[in-house]
Amino acid sequence: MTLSLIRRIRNSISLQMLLSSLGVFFILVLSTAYILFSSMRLQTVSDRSFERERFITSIRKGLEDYQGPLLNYLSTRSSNALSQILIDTQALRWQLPTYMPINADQTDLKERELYSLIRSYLDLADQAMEEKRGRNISAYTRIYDEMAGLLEYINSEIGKISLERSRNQMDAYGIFIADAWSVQLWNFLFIIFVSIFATLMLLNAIGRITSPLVRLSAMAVEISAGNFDSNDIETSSVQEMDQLVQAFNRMKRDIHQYIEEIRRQENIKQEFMQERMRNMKMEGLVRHMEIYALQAQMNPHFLFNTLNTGMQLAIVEGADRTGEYMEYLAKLFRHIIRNKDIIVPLRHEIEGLNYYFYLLKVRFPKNLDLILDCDDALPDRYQVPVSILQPLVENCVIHAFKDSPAYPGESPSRQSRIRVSAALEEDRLVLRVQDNGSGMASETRENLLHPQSIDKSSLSRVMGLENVIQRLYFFYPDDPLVVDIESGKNGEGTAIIIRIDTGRKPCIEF
Amino acid sequence: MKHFLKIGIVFFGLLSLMAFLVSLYLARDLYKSTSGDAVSPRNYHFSLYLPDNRNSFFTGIIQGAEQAAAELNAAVSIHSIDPAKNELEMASYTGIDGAIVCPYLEDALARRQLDKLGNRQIPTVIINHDVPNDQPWPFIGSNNFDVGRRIGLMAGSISEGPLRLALVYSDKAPGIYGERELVEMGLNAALGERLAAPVLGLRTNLNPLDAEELLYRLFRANPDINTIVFTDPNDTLAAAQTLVDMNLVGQVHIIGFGDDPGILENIRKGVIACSVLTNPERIGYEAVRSLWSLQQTGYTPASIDTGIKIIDGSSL
Repeated sequence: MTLSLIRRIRNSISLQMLLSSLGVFFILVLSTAYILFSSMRLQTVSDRSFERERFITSIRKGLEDYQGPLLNYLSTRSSNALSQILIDTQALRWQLPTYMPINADQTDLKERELYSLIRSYLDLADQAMEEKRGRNISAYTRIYDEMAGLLEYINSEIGKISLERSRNQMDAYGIFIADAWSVQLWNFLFIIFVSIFATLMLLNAIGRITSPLVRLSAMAVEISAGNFDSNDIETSSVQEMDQLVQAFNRMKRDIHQYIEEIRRQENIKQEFMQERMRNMKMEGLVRHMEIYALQAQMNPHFLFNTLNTGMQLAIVEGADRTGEYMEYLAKLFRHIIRNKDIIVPLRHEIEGLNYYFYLLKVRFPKNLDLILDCDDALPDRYQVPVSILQPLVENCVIHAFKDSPAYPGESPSRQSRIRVSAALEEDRLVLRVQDNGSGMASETRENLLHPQSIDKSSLSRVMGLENVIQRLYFFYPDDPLVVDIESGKNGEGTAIIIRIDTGRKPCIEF
Repeated sequence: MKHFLKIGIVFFGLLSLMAFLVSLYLARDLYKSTSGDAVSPRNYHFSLYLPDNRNSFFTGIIQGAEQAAAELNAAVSIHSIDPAKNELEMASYTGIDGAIVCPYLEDALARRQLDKLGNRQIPTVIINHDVPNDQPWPFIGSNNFDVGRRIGLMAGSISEGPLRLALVYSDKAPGIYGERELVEMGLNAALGERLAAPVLGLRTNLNPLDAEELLYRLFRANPDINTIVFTDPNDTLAAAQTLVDMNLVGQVHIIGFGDDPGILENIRKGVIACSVLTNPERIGYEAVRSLWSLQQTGYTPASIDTGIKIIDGSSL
C-alpha cells in the first residue's frame, strides 16, 4: 500500500510538484513558526525576570494601602474601615503564594522569608483588631508598635530583595543577552540553510520536469536537421513527462516512416517519370523507325521487283545458278523485311541464317566453312530477338578474316570456319557464333560489352555486332550475362555467346 | 549538475537540521536556566546570622554551612547580625526552620532576641562565642581558653627571651573579644613566668586598615613590644605590611589569625611567625548539622568544640 503510494508519487509530476511546493511551504512555515516561537520564548524568559519584581511592588503597594484603613479602624472602629481591612487582608493573602519551595538561591530564600513576614504582619493585624474589639488598649497599642517595626523591616527587605534581584539581573542579563544572541544567530543560520535547502528541493523538482523537456528540444533540433537515427529519449520515471516522451518518440518514428514513404514514393515517381521519358523516347524512336520504314518501303518493292526480273532473266537465259542465287537473295530480303515482330521463334532466325549461308557459300565456295549445329527440339520451343544471328555471322566474315591475304575464299592456304550452335544449358538458351579468325582486342571487347543509353543506341544507327549487343541489353536489362565475347587461345578466333534466360520474358513494352 | 544538486540537498538538509537542533538546545537551556524549576526543593530553611565582615573566617563559616545544607537537603539564608539592621529581631517572623547566630558583643540584647526565637519554637544554635543563659543554647566553636593557651605556646617557642606581648582584639571578630578573659587566661597559663609584662590588650574597629594605625601608635607608645597577637585576618595582613614598612621584621614577631593567601605568603617570607586557625568551615558545617538534628530528632549536643590549628613555616 505504502510502496504503491510512493511509486505513484514518484511517477506523477503533478503530485511531485504539489508535494514539493507543499513541502517547501511547510518547511518555511515551520521554520518561521519556530523562529517566532523561540523569539516569544526569549521574550517570556526576559519578562519572567521582571514578573516577580512587579509582584513584589504590587504587594508593597497593597501594604501601603492597607495602613490607612487599619489605623482608621484602630482609631475609630469604623465599620467601613473594617470592611475595607477585611477586603484588603483577603486580597493580600490571596496574592501571597501558598507554597514557595525552598532552594539554595539567597534571593529566593529572602523572598520566601518576605512572604512569611507579610503573613506575620497580617496575623498581627488580625490580633490587633481582636484586641480592639476586646478594648484591650495596651495590647493593640503594643501590637501596632510591633507591626510598625515589622512593616518598616518588610519595606527594607523589599528594597533589599529588589536591589539584589536587580544586581542579579544585571549579571544574568548579560549572560541572557549572549545566550539569546546565540539562539538568534542559530535561528538565522537555520533560516538561511532551510531556505537554501528548500530552493534546492524546488530546483530538483523543476529539474525533474525540465530535463526531459530540454532533451525533447534537443531531439527536436536534431529532427529538424533531418537526423532521425538518434536513439529514443529515455523515460524519466515521471508519468506525465513519460507520456510526452513516449508520444514524442512515437511521433519521431512516425515522421521518419512518413518521410521514408514519401522518399520511396518520390523515387517511384522519378522512376515512373524516367520510364515515361523512356517510353516517350521509344515512341519517338518507333515513329522515327516507322517513317524510316515507310521511306524504305519503296526500296524493298523496287528491289524485289528488280531481283525477280533478274531471276526471270537468268532463267530465260539458262543461267540456273544465277537464278537460284537471285532467288535466295530475294528470300533473304523478304525474310528480313516482311517480319514486323521484335521477338521471333528461333526457327525464324535459323531459316534466315540458312538463306544467308547459301549466299556466303556462293561467295566463298572453297575457303569458308559454315557449320550450323542446332538441336531439332529447340527452334519451335524458344523465342529470341529478331536479327541477332545473321549480323553476327556477317561480322565474322567482315572482321574476323580481314587480315587474311584476301577474302576467305581467295586463300587456299587457310580454311576459315564459322560455327553457329544453339543448345540448352540449364535454364538458358545458349547461341554461340564462333570463328577461327584474327581474334578481338580486349579494349574492343570492353567497349562492345558496355550497355549504352537508349537514346544513344537508338539514334546513332549502330549496326552489326554492336547493334545486336545493344538490342540484347535493351531486351534483357537486368541480365548482364545475356551476351559475352570470348577470345580463343593465342588471340586466335572469337566466340560471341548469347545466353537467353528462358524463364524471363524480354522487355518489349515501352 | 544533478549529482551536485542532490549533494547540496543532503548537505543543506543536514546543516538545517543541525542549526535547528542547536537552536532548540540553546533555547531549552536558556529557558531552564531562567526558570529555576530544575532543582528539587529542600526540606529545611535555616538562617545564619553573622557580622557583615567577610574575611576568610566568616567566609569559611558560610562555606561550611552551605556544604552541610547541600548534604542534608537544606538551605541557608545569610543575614547580618548588625543590630541596626534589625534582622535577628525579625527572625521570628520569617518562617525559618532554625537559626544559627554569631551573637553581638552585647549579651543582653542577644539574649533577648534569642529568647524571642525560642518563644516561637524556632531551633537556635550559637557559634563562635557563647551567651550565658539559664537554659543555654547549643554552642559550636573553638574553646577560647585553648586558643589562648596554644597562642602562648607558639609565642614562647618563637622567641627565647622575655616576652612583651600585645593582644589585638577586633570588632571584626567579636567571638574572641566576647571571651577575651578565657583567651588571656589561656595565654597566661601557657607563658607564666616568661611574660616580662602583663599582656597589653588592644582593639581595632571594623575598618580593615585600622590595624596599621594601631601599630604605629603601639610602637611609638611601647617600643619594647616584641610579640603581637592578632585575632582577625584583615588586621594580620595590615600589620604584616606595616611591619615591613617600619623595617621591624625579625625584631617583632607577629602571630596572625586565619589562612588568607596573603597571610600564608607572609608566613613563607618570615614576616608572620605563625597563624591561628579556628576551622570556620567546621563551625558552619556543625551548626547546620545541629539544627538539622534538632529538626529530625529534637536533640543535639550542647557543645561542639571545633578545635584550632596552628600554621607556621614548617607546616606549609
